[in-house]
Amino acid sequence: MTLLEIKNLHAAAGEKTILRGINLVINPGEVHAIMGLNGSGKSTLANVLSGKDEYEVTQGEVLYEGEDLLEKSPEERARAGIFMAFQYPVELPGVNNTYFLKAAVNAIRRERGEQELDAYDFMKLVREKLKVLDIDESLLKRDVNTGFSGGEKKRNEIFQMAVLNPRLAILDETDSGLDIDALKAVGSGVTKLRSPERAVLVITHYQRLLNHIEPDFVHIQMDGRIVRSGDRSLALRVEEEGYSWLEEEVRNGLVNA
Amino acid sequence: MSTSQTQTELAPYLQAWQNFLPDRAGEPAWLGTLRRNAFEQFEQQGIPDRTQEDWRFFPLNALRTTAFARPLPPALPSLQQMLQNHPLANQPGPLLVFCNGTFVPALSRLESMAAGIRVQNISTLLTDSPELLQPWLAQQNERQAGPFAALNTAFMEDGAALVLEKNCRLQQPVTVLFISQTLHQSSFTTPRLLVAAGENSQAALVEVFLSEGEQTAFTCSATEFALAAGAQIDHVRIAQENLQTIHISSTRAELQGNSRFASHNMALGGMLTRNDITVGLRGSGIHATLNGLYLAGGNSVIDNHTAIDHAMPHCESHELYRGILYGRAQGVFNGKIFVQLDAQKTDAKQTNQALLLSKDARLNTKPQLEIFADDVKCTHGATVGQLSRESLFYLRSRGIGEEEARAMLVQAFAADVTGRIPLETVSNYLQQMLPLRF
Repeated sequence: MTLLEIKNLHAAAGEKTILRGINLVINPGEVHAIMGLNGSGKSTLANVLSGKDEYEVTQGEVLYEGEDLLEKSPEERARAGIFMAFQYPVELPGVNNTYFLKAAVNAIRRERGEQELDAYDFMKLVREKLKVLDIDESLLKRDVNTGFSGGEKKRNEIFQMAVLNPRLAILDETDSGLDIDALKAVGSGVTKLRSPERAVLVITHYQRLLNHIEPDFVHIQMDGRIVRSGDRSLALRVEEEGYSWLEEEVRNGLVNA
Repeated sequence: MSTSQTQTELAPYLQAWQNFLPDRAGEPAWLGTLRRNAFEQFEQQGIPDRTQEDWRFFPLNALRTTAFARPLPPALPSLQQMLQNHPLANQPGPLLVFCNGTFVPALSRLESMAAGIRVQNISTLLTDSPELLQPWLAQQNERQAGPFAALNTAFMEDGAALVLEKNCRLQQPVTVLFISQTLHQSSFTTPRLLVAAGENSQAALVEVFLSEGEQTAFTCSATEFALAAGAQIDHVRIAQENLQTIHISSTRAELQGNSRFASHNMALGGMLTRNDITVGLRGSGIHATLNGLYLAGGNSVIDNHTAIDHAMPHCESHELYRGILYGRAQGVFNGKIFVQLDAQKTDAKQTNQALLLSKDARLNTKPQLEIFADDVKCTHGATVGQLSRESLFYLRSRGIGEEEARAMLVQAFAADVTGRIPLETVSNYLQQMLPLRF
């Protein structure tokens, strides 16, 4: 069954139309990458999918597991299995990472009719994920993202993703601001979390993250639409030649059918 | 205000005073003098009204219209039940329980103390060693402390006293519970706490105000600290009475050289709460910390007035107040800092931050710095805001419901203040007392 289906999605922030007809189908197990220049609306798409209320959907629909996603609140989306790794994760001074994650895990479990995890089982789960991702346990004692470096914040996002075990993970510019080592760590973390049940949508400006997370499909977004879809080679061509050849083709009317 | 009006509104207090005095016949003469002077002062000053700058935002009409009776004697069984599992009644260290103004030995724990340390209720001390109290009781700025400190002194029935001799240190905190039992009628109580800390002595006190029952009460509290050179005292004050209570308190501290005093003022209950905290820095090398958390919803009013008097050079004062206001609550923060001519090299920092969680909640915040010395570092800042939308969205995007997300952010905001209390049981207790919805 299709996991996510975006049909002719239009969205605006205030007066400004940003998405102008996005179409995309994602199945379980697939990794999709959306690439594009700044201002092409990539992050808006991620934000609309995660339920940020700054955007108004003016046309089109989004089905998640066959249900209307857009009418769900952000927490309902998360409980249904959508996870967004933020481009700029917020710092929450005074909110302990472990406490925060436990609240999140149990909110999701309650929704699914599963029993809440007690402290022991929760710590077991958390330690196991820390080990898989090779993250130091001191992370648990810290306040959420507070005083974290850029790399630590992004790794904390991936760690949360591992613990919350989503069906659809959206990575919004997770590579921005990362040095090579952090990029590698994040990339390998995501790769470890690939599974036949889970789909990943990677939103990125550059190809370099895709060296570490190999996508099955690559889409190029321009001016609020997906103008070209292909496989990995599309990303490589963009890396080599930039976007101008594609802009030229789009001007000449060569858009995905 | 005309004299006749004043007399009318003070009539219930005059009546109470006439009934009260004959009961105190056995007391030391010096105390009788203190009481009479105090009542006279209360009569002269009267109940403040809103034309007085310091009472501008505090509606005192309830004190004019309600005749608060002296309370009934405590009913022990229900009180015992209430305290049985109360975290603060069960933390280690001495415990003094007062109910409706009366000491309750059956529920208190006054374990034997090392020599030089006296922890006792005031009325017992007045009987067996009044000389321990006389130098300290009601000796601080009685004239300036205002009508309610005077009212407390006049009607003081019982309370807790901690007298520490030189170099004496308490390993565990002293917990003092003042409970208003208002099961059947309103009540007026005058809780008192006195701490005289000798040179290089050290202690922590947790003073807690609770209610049992939902009737109205007027708690008129007074607390005095006298810290000799090098003494170190932490004072946690938790006001958590029912939503019908009028709570007016005056806390005064006089600090000598190189002493450290930390006040943690936690206002979590009541209908009308007014706390005045006045700290005098009378030597060099003193550190004074004034932290506060105030939480109010419904139609409650919470008014904190602090005053720090830097009289001598090379002292530091740090003040952090945080407020959480929701519903139609009103908050007031007034922070005075005086830096006298002699108080060179003073380092004073004051911060007041408040969250307004509803459109009808209000805060009036006023820093008031009066600086007469020229080589000092004094800063103040006040911020008033809402919960961050970004933070809320982040929590919700992880599956946490909006209500829980709001509560988590409020708890985090409060934790910055409660976390500074050096007693973990107390800070955990406070965090758990915060509401789960706003």
